[in-house]
Amino acid sequence: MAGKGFYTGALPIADLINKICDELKAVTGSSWSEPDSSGDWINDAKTAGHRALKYTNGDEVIYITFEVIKGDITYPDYGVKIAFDGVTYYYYAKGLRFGFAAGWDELNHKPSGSWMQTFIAYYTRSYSSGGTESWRVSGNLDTAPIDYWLWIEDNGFALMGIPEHQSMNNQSGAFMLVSERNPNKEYNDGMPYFYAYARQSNVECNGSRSNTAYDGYRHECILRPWTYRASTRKEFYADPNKDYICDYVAIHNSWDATDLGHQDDPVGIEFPKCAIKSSGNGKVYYVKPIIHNNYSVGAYKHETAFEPIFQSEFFLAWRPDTGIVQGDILKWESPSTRQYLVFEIGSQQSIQKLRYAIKYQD
Amino acid sequence: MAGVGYYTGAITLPNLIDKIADELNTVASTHWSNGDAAWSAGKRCCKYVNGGETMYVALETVNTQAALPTYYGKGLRITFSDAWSSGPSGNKQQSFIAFEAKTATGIAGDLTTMLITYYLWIEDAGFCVMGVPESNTTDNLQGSFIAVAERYDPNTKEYSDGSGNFYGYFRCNYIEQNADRTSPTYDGLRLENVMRPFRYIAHAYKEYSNTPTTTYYGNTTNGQYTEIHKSWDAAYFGHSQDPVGIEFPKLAIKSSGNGKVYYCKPVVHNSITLYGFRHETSFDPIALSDLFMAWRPDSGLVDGDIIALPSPSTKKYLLKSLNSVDKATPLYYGIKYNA
Repeated sequence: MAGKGFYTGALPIADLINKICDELKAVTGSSWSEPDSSGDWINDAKTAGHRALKYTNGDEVIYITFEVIKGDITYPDYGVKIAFDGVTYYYYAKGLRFGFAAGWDELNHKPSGSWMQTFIAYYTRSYSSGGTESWRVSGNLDTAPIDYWLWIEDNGFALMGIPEHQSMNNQSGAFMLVSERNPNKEYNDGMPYFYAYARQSNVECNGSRSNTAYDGYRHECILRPWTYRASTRKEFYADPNKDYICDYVAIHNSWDATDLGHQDDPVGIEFPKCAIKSSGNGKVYYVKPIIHNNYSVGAYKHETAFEPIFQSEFFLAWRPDTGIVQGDILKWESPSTRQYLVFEIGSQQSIQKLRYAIKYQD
Repeated sequence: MAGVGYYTGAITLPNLIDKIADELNTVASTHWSNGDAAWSAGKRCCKYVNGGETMYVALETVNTQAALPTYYGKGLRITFSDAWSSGPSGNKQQSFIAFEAKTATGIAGDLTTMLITYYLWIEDAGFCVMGVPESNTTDNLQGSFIAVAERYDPNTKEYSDGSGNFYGYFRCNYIEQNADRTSPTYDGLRLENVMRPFRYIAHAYKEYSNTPTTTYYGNTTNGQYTEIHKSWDAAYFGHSQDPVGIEFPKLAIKSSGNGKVYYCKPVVHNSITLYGFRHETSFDPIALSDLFMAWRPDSGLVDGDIIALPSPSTKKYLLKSLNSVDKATPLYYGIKYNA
């Protein structure tokens, strides 16, 4: 363990969870620790399929949780149901569930209190009516490796990953997950200093919020404890009780003519300017992602949030047609030593790519 | 005359032009002077000299009804030129803000007598003016307008480009016609939203569509003012009627959390590049604007608000929402109010 730094490799999801947790704990002067002295949420995600860490900084305490969602309890080879399009197609999935928890139940050794979650269904399959076999979601998460790229520091992590290809899973995608703490708030709000940003390059399902069967299985693009969680279209259209099956669309590449906004952009986090490379001097220009403390969808929805709380230091979004390419390293100007590594990753089943850069050097 | 400062009132266009020129000349730096004493009575030549840098900013009252060609207009012509010979010469760029316009001939407004309610900032770097013409019932395409002629501090440029330090930004909240660029008949009668001497001139939809010789853009779908970020083109994934060459990454909003205002300064670019994905259309930033900014009206900001930058800065901007009698699509801009 080296703690703060950049890591890459290929690991099954439980090992990757362990990698994240162990490196966070290994950061010099780490604020991270195991949340409990016993129980199955500590030390290793492989046995129980989940793990948590505790963040402590003075009076500030929060827990992050990781869960391997392998599939249906009755039929482990199948995925969990995450959405129905209302007509033909059902969506089943396996993947990684991440969350923020406000407390810890030391009696029962598990998270307690407010628990805000997002499910990154990187193995997803859609099917039309048919036999049970037709909703099988292939891929043994105990062994299927994920190519990953990971930034670790005491304020959290930024992860990008490509799961092993499974030809049966026709909606699978690459993914990213950022969990970041930023102490530089615009104002005191009494809320934690954390947010999370999660994307899947193919399809992001967010089932009806009134259907408890979907609890824990909705893809939320952003978690802002404890003010809100938000996806894309569902929030854009203020339509919480419908199953949304959203194809991933690059930032600023969608439009709604009635509401005058980018309907497939995430709501609550804002990307005012995706990174571009100047044709004049070769430098890169962008605006850091802005995380808001709530969202407000009025009639004119080009922006959908008006309460900035802080900006991300862990990642940025870029557009691909100005000379920036996968593998580029974006360096801040001296005396800063900060660098970001550019990614353009997808899956064999997804045309769309995740175009983001994550921190590579502080 | 007080030079640097904010001014408001209601005067005719020739008097407004005099006001701008005279106040520029009064700025203590003495970089500005009259470039041509013969340019008077409705037109002025504002000459800027700073070391080896010279720029002429000519302001003209166009009080003769001009065919644009679809509509007819009178208004304010602004010219950047790097030489002068009884008028702009050498390299030059022009924009014509036809704020007094009509669908047919017979414009009633006489610019020598009709009043313009104006809001004006003057400093050594140039000027920013917003105006609303006095209404009349004959001219059915009257528009409010904004005109910005700004010089960057060369030390703030992103790179040395050898292209001088000025840009211009011009909008009219109704008709922004821009005729075929190959037809000299319309030289000096096209509204260019952005002028970056002497690299490019740019109209919003014409440049976005990359159709410079199209005869005109002036009907209800492709030439009238549209607010920033409120148009869309499904083929190219971009805001088809946003100005090209100047970028507004984030319009000013008021935070519901702390009441502060957040925005990105307008980004002026040195060139235009149109790719398939045209959400942005310029990738050559040269400097940020300091004289004005754009805002959106639904987060608590209203006309008349004053945006004060955090201390120790003393800089302030006055937000204006200017409609015209004939068009209820406001110009939402803030102009400098305190240095």
